[in-house]
Amino acid sequence: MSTDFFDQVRRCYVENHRGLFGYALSLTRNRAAAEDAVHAVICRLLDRGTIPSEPRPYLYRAVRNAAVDTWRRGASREEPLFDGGAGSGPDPELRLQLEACLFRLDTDQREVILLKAWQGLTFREIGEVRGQPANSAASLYRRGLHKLKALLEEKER
Amino acid sequence: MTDPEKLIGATPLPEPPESLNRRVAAAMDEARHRHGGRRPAMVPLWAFAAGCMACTLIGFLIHPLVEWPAPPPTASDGVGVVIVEPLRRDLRVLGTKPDRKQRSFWLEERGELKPLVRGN
Repeated sequence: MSTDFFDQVRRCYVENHRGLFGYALSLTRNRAAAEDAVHAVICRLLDRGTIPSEPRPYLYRAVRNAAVDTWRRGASREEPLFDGGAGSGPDPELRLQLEACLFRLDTDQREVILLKAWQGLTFREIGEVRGQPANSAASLYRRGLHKLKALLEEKER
Repeated sequence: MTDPEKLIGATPLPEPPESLNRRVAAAMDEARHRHGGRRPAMVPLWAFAAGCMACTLIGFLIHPLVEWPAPPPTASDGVGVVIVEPLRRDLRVLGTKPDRKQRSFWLEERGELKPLVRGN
């Protein structure tokens, strides 16, 4: 393994660690479990010895697998998802409402919405992460967003 | 009315705990240490082939210089009998042709070939 490889791993981590951690947190609802999942993925990448041609979908898919393993071992205490970055973004009350509505959605719809709107992945990348065609991811996103809108309107009333 | 897509997009991603950064840094250090930062050196196949050819050539060039041990004479080599007295009953003179190198005679003792040295 060359020094170049370790530089690439470091770059991958620095560029994606917040997104990966957020994604893992949305799946596990637990900060410690999310941390374990991201750590496991970076260790796996180091063992692999090469950087995949498209690192982002690879890393998100690996985090998904690691988070599913954690979830199977038994869910721990649920923690809030949108609690970071105080002072920026929507006000805390709106964030809580949004989070509550998100977790009333179907799991697949929520995952796709978070990957697209929060993490900024493309539908093609989401398809690679979830092992499905990009069109299916887009369809889940549209339906989920429609439902989320309805839920938020219901709360506003 | 709030657009959920914009709302989610505007929500900042959570800051990972510092312990994650430390764990990842430690994992990278360990991996770098484990691999020594580079691939293990490998001797190419052509170097093995070149080495084999060189050894063969050297062996061929020096083989006339080597004094190979002469094979022990057999009974068919013996012409004439010069040893007058049998040394021992169980000894049998195989031949009179001396070993060119050892200047000695070869005898057969209990089925085993032995050089006959002066004084025996």
